[in-house]
Amino acid sequence: MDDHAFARRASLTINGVSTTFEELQSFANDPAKNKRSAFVDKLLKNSRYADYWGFRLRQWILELREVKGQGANFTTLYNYTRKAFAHNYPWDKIAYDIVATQGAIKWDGRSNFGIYFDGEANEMSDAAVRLFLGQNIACAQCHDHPYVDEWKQESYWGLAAFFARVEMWDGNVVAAERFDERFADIGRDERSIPTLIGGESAIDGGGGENRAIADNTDAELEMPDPENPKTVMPTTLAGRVMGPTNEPGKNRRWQFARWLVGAEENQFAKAAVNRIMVELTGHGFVDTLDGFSPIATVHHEALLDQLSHQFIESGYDVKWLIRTIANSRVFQTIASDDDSASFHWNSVPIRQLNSDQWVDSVLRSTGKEATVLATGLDIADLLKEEENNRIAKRHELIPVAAKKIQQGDFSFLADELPVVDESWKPHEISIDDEQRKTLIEKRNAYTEAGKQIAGARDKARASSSPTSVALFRMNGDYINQCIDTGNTVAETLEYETAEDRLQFLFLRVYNRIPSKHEMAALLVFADSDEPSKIKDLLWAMLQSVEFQSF
Amino acid sequence: MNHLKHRLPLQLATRRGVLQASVATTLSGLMGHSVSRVFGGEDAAGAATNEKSIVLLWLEGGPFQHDSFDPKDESNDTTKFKYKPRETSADGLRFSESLPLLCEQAHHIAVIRSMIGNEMEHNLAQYHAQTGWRNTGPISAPAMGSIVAHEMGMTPMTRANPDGLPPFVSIGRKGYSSGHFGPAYLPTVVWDPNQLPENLGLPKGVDKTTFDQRLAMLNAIESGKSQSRTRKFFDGGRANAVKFMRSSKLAAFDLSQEPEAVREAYGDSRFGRGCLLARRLVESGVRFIQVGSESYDQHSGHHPRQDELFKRLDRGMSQLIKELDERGLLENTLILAVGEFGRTPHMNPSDGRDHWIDCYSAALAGGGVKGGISYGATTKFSGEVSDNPVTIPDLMSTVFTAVGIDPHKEYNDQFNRPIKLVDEGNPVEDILA
Repeated sequence: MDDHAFARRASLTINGVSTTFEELQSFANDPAKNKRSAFVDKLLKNSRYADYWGFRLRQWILELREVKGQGANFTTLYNYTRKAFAHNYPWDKIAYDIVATQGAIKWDGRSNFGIYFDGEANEMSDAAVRLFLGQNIACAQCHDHPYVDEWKQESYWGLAAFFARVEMWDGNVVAAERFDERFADIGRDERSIPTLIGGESAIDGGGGENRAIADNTDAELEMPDPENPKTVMPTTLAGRVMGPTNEPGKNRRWQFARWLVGAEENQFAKAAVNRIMVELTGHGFVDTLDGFSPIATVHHEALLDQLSHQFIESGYDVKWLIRTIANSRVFQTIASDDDSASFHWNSVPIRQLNSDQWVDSVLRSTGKEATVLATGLDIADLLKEEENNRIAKRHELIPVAAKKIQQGDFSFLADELPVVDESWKPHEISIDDEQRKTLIEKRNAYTEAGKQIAGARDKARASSSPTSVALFRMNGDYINQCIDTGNTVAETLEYETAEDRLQFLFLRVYNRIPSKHEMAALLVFADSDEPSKIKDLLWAMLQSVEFQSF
Repeated sequence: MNHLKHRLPLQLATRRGVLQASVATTLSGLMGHSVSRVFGGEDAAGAATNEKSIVLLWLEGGPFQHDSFDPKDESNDTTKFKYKPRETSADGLRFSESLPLLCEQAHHIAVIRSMIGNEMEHNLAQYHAQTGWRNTGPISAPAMGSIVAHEMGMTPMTRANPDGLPPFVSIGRKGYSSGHFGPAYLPTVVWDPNQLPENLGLPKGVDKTTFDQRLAMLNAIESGKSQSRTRKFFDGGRANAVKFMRSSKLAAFDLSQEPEAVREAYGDSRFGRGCLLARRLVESGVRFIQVGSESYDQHSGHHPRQDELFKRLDRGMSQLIKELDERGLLENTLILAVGEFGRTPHMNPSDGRDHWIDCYSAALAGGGVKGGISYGATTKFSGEVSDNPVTIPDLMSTVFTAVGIDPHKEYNDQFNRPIKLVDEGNPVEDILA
C-alpha cells in the first residue's frame, strides 16, 4: 500500500480519525526509512489514542448485552476506559479492574460492569468469558454444550458461582450515611480526567444512577435446575473446583479474574490479540470475536500463538501489541473485497467507518476541527479568578451561617457548611476586562461545540436502519453545520486553479491524490469561485463510499 | 396549522440513473459488529405481499390490569380499587369504567386477561415482551415490528414499497432489537407525531435543485467504482433515503391535513396524535406501526396519573378502531394494546402500585381476531391467573397467525443456530377469527 493509504488507515485505527493535509504532506516527503513506524509511534503518543480506544473498550463492554442494566453510567465507564489507555494499563489489570471492582458507579466507572448485568451472576461470568477469553459458552446455560464436550452445564454455573456474592446497592434506597460509609473511599481515584474533544453526554440515566456493586461473604449459588437443585461452588470451565482464597481482601471475583488471566493455552492473550487484530485489520483468527472454542478452526494459528506469547512477555502491553500489528505486513496491505486474497491475508477487507471514526473524520475533513479544538485556549487565569471569587463568597457566608446556627436554623448543615482553609491565599491574576470577556466567549464556544459533537456521537452511535443512517448523514445538522462553518471551503478557494483545489479537497477528505481520470471527470465541479459550489462538492465527497469506509 | 408544509421536501424531480440503487440489501449496518454480522448472508426475505398491517399500542411502564380490561366488582382496604366494571357494546364483556369510549367499541375487541410475564425489571421485561426472548448472554432476537417488516415481503423497499415509505415506523420511541435480521429491519422513528421523521427535510439553505446537483456530483464521484459490499450498503441505504424523501405519500406524516374535529377526537396528547398518525400510515401501506406511550410506571400516586393515561388510551384507541372500521380498513388491520407487565392489586404505602408479572391484560382488535370476547381469567382481585394462562410467545403467535405469518417459521440466527420466529408459543385459537 502507498504512504497515503497507510497514513489514513493508521490514523483511523489508532486515533479514530482520518489524517490531515499537513501531516500527509510532511509524511509523504519524509525520506526516512523508518517513517511508518515513527508515524505509528506518533499516533500512539497522541491523546486521541486514549480518547478513541476508550470509546472502543466501552463499546466492547456495551455490546456484550442487548439490554443495559438500569442505571449503568456510561460516562464514568468511559472515564475509566479512557484512562486505561491513557496510562497504558496492562490488559490483565484491565480484566481485574472490570471483573472484580467494588464501588459506586457515580465515582468509579469500573463498577459499571456489575450494574450493566443487573448483578446477575451468570450474566457477568458469561460476558466476562466472551470479552476476555473470546469464548461463547451461553449454550451451556440450559444444557451441556451440544458440540463442545468440555463445556458442561455444571461448569457454566460453576463459573457463575464466582459471582454469587455480588450485591447491588442502591444509594437512592439505602440511607446516605450507610452508602457513603460503605463506598465513599473506594475508587475515588478513578474519577474523570478531562477529554480532549467533544466530551461525553450523559446517555445513561433512567433511574438507578446511584447504584454500587459490592460483595458479601456468605451467599452461594443454587443451580437453577428444577430436577437437580443444588449449591454450586466456584468451578473453572475445565471443572476444577476453586477453594476459598487465603489472600486478605481478595474475593471470589478476584479469583475469577485470576483464572481468566491464567486460562489454559494462553487463551486470555489470544482473545486480546484477536480483538486488536480485528480492530486494526478487519481480520479475525476465528470467525467472530467470541468464536474461540476447543473445536473452532483457527486461521493462521502459528501467528496467533507467536503474537500471544510475545504479548504475555511484554507484560500485556496493549500499545506494544498495536504497534507490532500496525508495523506488520498484514496491516500494510491494500484493502479489497476479494475474499480469497482476504482469506490469505494478502489484503484487508474494506470496512465502514465506525460512528466515532465518522464523527471525528467529518470534523477534520470539513476544517471544523480547527475552530472547536481547545488549542490556544489558555483559560488558566480565568479558572484562578473564578476560584478566588468562589472562596471569597464562602468567606462571606461564614458569619451568615454562624448567625443562623445561633438562631437554631440548621439549614446550612443539611446543605454544605462553608469550610474555609485559613492558609489559603488568593491567586494573583493579571487579566483585564477585555481579556476576560474574550476568554469566556472562547470557553463558551468550546463547551457548546463539545456538546454538539457529543450529541452527534450519540446520534451516530444509535442503532438505525441504513435508510436512517443515510438521512442523518445527508440531511442531519451535524454534517451540514460542519460544512457551513468549517474552514475547508475557504481554504480550498485560496488555491488559484481548479486542479489545485481538487487536489487539496482529495487530500483533505480522502487523504490521497486524485487519479488523472478523476481529475478529468471532476475538475468541472471545482472550477468555480462560488463558495456554495465548493460546498456542494465537499458534501458530495463526504457522502461517497470512499469517505465512509477504509 | 400548516406548520409542517414548509419542511416537506416533496416532489424532488426524480432523476433516473442518479444514484439508482443496485438492489437494496439486507446488509447489516450496526457499526462495530463482527464482520460476519455486518456482511451476513442475504436471506431471502418474506413472501410476497400481504395487505395486512399491525398497529402496536405500546403501553410501556405497565398499565394496571384492573383499571383497564380486567375490572372486578369487589374492593377492600388493601386493593383500594377506585373504578367499577362497566357494561360494553358486547354482551357479557365488561371493561373498567375508566375506558368509557372503548366500552362502545368492545364488539371489535378481544381481551386476554391471563397474560403472564417473567421479568420484573422494565428494560428486561420490555425486551421479552417485544421479542419473546429473555435477554440472556449474547442473545439478540428481533422484535415484533422487525419480524413483520421482514415477513411481509418488504426486504428491498425498492421492490415491495414503490412509494418509498418504510415498512416499519415507530412513533415517539426508538425501536427494540432487529436481531438476526439486521438493522435494515429497524424502524424509521418519528419522535414527535407533529413532525416529520428526523432528517427527512433538506438541510438549511439547500433547495431541491441544489440537492439534485449535489447528487449528480456524487454520482460522478462514484461512477466506475467497483461494486463492493460496503458500497452496496451505502448505495442501498442512500437510494432508499432519497426515495423516502421523494415519496408521494410523505403527506401521510402531516397531521395538519386532518380536520380539527378529527384531531380533537383522538385527543391532544402525544399518544392520541400517535394513534391518528398510525391510521394515516395504515392508509399509506405501512406494515407495522408502533405507537409509544407516556410511561405507566406509577410507584407512588397511582391516581390521577394512570387515570390521565387511560383517558388518552381510551380516546386514541377507540377513535382508531372506529375510523379504521368506517374506512373499511379494520378487517385488514390488527391492533394490539399491551405493555410489559401489570401492576400490584394492592396499593403500596405511597399510594402507588408496583410491577406485577403474575397477570396482566392484552387487548386485540381488528383483522384476524374475533370481537366482543375475553380469554382467560384472574382471581378475585385481578392478582393471579385462574384460567387459561397465556405467555408472551403465545401472544406473539396469536398476532402473527392473525395476519398470516407462520409463527414457527425457522431461520438461522447470527450464531447459525436454528431459531423460530416464536419459540414454544401457541396461538390462542379461541380468539382467532
